[in-house]
Amino acid sequence: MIDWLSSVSSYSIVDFVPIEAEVYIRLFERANIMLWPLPFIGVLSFNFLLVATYFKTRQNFWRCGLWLILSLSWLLVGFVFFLQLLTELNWIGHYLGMVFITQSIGLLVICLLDYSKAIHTHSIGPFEVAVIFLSFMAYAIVPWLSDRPWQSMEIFAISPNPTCIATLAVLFSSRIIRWWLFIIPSAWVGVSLSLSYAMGLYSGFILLLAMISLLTYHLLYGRINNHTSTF
Amino acid sequence: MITRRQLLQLFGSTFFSFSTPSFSKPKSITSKPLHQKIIPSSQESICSVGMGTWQTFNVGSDPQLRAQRTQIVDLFFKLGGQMIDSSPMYGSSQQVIGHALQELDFPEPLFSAEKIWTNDGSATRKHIEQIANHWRVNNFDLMQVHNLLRWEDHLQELKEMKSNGELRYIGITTSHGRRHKDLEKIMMTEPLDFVQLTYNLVDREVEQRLLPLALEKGIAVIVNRPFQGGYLIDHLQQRNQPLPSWATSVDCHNWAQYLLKFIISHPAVTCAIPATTKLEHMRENMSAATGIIPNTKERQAMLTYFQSI
Repeated sequence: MIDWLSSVSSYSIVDFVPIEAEVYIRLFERANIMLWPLPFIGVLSFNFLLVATYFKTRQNFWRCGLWLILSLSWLLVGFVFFLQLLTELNWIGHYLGMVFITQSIGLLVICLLDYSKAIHTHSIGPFEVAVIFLSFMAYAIVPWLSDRPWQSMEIFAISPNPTCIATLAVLFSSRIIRWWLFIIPSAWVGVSLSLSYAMGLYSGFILLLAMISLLTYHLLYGRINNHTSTF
Repeated sequence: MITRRQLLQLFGSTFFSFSTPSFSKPKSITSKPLHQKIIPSSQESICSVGMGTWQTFNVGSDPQLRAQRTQIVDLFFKLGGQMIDSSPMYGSSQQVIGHALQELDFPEPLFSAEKIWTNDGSATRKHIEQIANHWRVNNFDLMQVHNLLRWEDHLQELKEMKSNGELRYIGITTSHGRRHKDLEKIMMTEPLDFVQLTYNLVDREVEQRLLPLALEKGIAVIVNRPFQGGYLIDHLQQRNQPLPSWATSVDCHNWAQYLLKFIISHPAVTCAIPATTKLEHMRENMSAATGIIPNTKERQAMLTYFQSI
């Protein structure tokens, strides 16, 4: 035990990321190509639901649709990106896949609960929409700035970071704040940052910036305090 | 008498010569004699520059990247390389090496170096069988205990396997300057053929005790992280740092040669194992094993110049 502990304690974070940035980026490219045109449909559907929720017409119906599409996105990222692609490169991919599928189940439960209880929820505000839009744009621009093929773009419902940002934005704007649904996305922010740090990528830092922006906005404008809080 | 490995290679070469038309067994393209070092426990000679696979060969099943890595292995053998080192800790690297070796018709003279990395001290053999399946070979030249993990149990089993002729050499590894005191104790008491450690122009702690001890005990030394994980060479190239004018007198025409020649010219060092994904870098790395190898005075001059920049 002591031998194992002293061995493990002598590792650094880079030792657990035996992947080159080029190879990690290829995962986005492979996932996009493998699932095409699903990335396109996913982004379109999400944007449609955002707009529908924003205009407050049959809001609860659309909002449940939003939860549902988020749930499906976490499921897809868990299965394809982590279990199918990343696990080949690092054992941690298996566990991350399971965690993403767990979050998917949590979001599905909320979708069903909200629909059955017909809870009136706030619409997504312009700030959240702006954060989603800007971060999606950032992920779209990064391949061009880094001289990479456009197919390697990180896309909502295929790649973990844009999916996480969209989820956080929707969670923050809910009238009922369910803290337990924040655990996995927040933990992923930490993991993504570590991966980005180890591989010298921007991706995790865009996610962190988006999360800080959402958190700061909600703390400053007291929206969290005005919400019902539940665990 | 034909060995199991030769038999496998014979079958492999017959079968795969029909199935893989894009690659053939690499033929040497280097006319210059390569710098060789002697493995003290056997007096066998080996090229002093090998190939590491940390990060660089972990590409999974991606066909595009696998083909690129096969080209790297192909060039490595064409330039006279021998030692390929990997570990279960390196993700899919072992499978990718296995794929490349099969594509290249199991090139000779491969010196396969692998590592045991499991906390289950009773699973040594099972672990080695699994790794051999990944490499698509029957056995390994060298098996090392990775980062001293459960080394007592694994080393005991490795010693038995060596005495049965299932392994040619056994060893133990560390990196990043970790657990040197423990490694020293093991070197003092165990019959090791190889140790693997980190040594380069900025990380020279092993010069104090471990390298002299390896010389004294007749243990071959494999050097990992010769470019400090790529940091050293990237830093020097980004700064556009020129080589000293006298570098050509020791056949150093690029920084890779400079950094590697400093390492392999140490009398205790047997082989340095830089890793790369680029063909051009592979050429630079392997060229370090050609031409003049610096003597003690020239090594000191290399160090002094490096410390002055």
